[in-house]
Amino acid sequence: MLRRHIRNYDYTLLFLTLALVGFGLLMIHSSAPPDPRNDFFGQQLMWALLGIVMMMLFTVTDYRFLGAWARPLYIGIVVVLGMVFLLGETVFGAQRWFQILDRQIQPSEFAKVLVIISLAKFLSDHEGEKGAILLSGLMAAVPMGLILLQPNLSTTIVLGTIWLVIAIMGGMPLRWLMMLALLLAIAVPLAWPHVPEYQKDRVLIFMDPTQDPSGQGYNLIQSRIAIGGGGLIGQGYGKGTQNQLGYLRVRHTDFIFSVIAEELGFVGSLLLFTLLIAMIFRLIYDIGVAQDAFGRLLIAGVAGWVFFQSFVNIGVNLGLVPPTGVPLPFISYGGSNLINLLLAIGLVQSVVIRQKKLDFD
Amino acid sequence: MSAPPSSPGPMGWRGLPQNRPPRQRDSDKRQRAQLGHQRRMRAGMVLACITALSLALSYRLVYWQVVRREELLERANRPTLERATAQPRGTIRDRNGYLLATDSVSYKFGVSPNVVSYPEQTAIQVATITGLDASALHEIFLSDAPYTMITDSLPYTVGQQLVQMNDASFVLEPVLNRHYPNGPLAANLLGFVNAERRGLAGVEMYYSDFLNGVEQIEMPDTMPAEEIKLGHRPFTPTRNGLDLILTIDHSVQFMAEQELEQAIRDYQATGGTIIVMDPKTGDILAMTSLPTYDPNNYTTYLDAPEIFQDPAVSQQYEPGSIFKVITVAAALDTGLVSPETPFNDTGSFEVGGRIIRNWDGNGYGTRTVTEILGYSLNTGTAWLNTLLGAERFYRYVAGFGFGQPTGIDLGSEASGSVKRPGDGIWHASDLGTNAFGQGIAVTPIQMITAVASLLNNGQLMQPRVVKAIVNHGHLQERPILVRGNSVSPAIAQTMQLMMADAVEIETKTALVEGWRIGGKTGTAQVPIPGGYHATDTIASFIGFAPADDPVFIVLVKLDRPLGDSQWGSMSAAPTFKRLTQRLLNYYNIAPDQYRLLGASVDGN
Repeated sequence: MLRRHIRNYDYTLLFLTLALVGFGLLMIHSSAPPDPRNDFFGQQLMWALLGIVMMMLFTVTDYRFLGAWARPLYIGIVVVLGMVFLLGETVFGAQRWFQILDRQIQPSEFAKVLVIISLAKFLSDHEGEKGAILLSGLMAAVPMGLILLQPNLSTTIVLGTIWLVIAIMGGMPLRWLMMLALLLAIAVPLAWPHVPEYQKDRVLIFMDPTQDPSGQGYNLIQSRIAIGGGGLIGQGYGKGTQNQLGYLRVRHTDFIFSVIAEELGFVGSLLLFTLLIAMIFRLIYDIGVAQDAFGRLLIAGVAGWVFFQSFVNIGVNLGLVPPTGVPLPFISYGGSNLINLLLAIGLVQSVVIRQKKLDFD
Repeated sequence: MSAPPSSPGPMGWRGLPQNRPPRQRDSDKRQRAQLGHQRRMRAGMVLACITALSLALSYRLVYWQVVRREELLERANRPTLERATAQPRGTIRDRNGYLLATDSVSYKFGVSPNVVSYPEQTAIQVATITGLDASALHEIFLSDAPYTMITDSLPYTVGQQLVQMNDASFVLEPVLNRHYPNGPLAANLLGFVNAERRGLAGVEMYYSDFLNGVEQIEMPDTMPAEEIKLGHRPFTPTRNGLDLILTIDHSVQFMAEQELEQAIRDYQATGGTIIVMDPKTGDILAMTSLPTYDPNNYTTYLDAPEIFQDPAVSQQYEPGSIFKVITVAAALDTGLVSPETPFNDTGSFEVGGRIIRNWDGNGYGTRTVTEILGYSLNTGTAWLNTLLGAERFYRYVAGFGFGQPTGIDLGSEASGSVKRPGDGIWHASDLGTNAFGQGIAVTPIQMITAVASLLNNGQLMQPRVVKAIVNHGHLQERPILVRGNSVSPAIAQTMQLMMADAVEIETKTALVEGWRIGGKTGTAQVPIPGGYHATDTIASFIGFAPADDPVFIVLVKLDRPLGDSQWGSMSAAPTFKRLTQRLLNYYNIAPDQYRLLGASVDGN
């Protein structure tokens, strides 16, 4: 590595990343039940360390080298997703997991990083070509379709959003955006009768959780009680009643934000917002220092990913978005998600340290 | 997967032309400026989008954490600690469902004098309702103590009136009490329950596992979350105690108690016991001993706690002549003698170096075995025992259940005391004295159970006082248990008739006009260290009716009656007679003359 690289390294981004991961570990420690058989904190700590090593590795690796590998990587992930669909074990009624040795991994998380690389490479190779943007949509649609079949609607939507962000940054005419919005507005009511029952229920109960307070609406009500109970400064770390007494379910994963809101209150929640928004802004800033279109689109994809998942997860906790299983980036418990996010941050750093010289023209 | 590329570039996307034609430098610059403008515009759009969505989230956060906070807190799950409260004990009823013991609610009444606003007025009001002393109350109310307990046993209705007063200074706490609606009726048998709600005697103790409720878990809503243990919480279902149905018939019990009380008064006895049993099942129909106590006020007897022992099962005494029934039955069962076998009574008979005489010292001449029982000849029974020999006699004594607990479902049962050859204290002369119930200790329940076996084809029953357990609507009948056989059925029936003959020969005072009965008296001297008390006796009578098909067997035992009453035939036998008359009426048993005639008419 060159000295220039070390000088260009984005320490702010590193700080924000580590701060968020640390925050997440603290909250998992507070929310995971004390059960020696399920040491969530220890597991997450292990994954975080692994993820940080991966982040460093991807920082050192030239992102353009990965770009050169874009096509085999893309084909690879499509094949793996196809295999998951055919062979994957059914966990929680969905074929999302893949057994490697004794670990279950979620290929759809890896799909996010690989789709970002593939789309960024493709669109940067064909900058300004409208046909390429259409084709990139098709490229994104194949893994999206396979993931939708798992079925995993939330990851499909995350992938779609990633594509949209990269496509917009890659020069998609704004007219198309409106057309797309129109298309969705027509497609959703048409698709509604074909939506699986459980997803319909989720949307309906989202509208009014009190319809089913002990069943589907239970966690929405409990999370609101948790958030409301937090107040300004919260009930104190490790003292949130909803969290500690187990009224709140999946509290170390999808509803970890409610735990933060309950135990650390409005102040703690705003701290989390600040960290996340600072990271997004830092990523947007880094777009500007990238030396080529591939780098820019890469960072844009990562930024879009982090932002969209943050928004959806917190939105679910706050009752702004229908309940869907999207983890809170860097915070929620889950190895595949954390490792891939850290790996993606490593990619961003790889772009940033190889930035062009300052251009004063 | 395809082979790795040797350099970046060649593996790029080839679906579209890759190498764009080179542009002019200035137009390139212009285009870059244009692209830069476009990029900035889009970046602005993205920023606006991010800001809008972040604001939406922040608004939502404020909405839940500030605007609707109170409403959500209202719905919060109250963190609680669990506290156990007493559950009602099961009730105890007699065999006909008559209530003998139940839980009732009374009030514990205390005040916080420091918040009493009008001490004088309040004292007068409370005194009027409770009947407590107004000036004493006034004095309490004038103090500034935070809490003073006034009484822990206000009746429910009185407590309710105080509750109605709705005075903030009153502390009224409902407490469960054990209540015995019939006062001392069957107290020895029922036992009592102490302030910690533990059964300490009788059925209340023996069946406390059934009677006790499982404590209820109550959750006060004031405990902070950190005081609550996390993790595993056991689930304990709560329930009231189970109800008991006794074999006792409260009417029979009442008659027995009345007769016992009168007998003790009339014959100036110091105490006594009456047991009424169904010989066919071992069911105790009545069991009473005097002196007794009122279980509602058990605390007043704590100075002399021995009163809580039920003498019917725990007191050992020498049975005296009643025991001759056992000796005769044993001799008949071995086949050595028949009821008609003659014995020449000279007035004395030597066993093991000891001369045994009759109660009056007289010789009765040649008498049959039936007459030995009828005239209650000590010499005759000692002779029978010499025929039997020690080994066989004590086998029969054990077979009748002596020397071991009967297994009745009551606590603190004594096992009696039977000396046996080889145990060091037995002497050869004991074989003679034991024959007429001396030198052997039994409990009343052993005695009646043993004789009852002769009315039940020789089957020795395990006596019981609890007939069934009511487990929340389900009746669980307790088993009727046969412990063994004392004698063969034929000998048992012979003994039943011989006891009827014996009463007619010896104990006219026990006879009931209209019904043939069977029975045997006993007058035992009271053993004292070094011999027997000069005058004190235990007068007893065991009898049954009707003689042909006994419905009940009664044991009357009177301790230390005075004067002539010291003879069983002069005190216990007439007591039996009075009780039996009442029982025959109660059980609606027609006099023999009609009953047996009816049977023969039916037979034809």
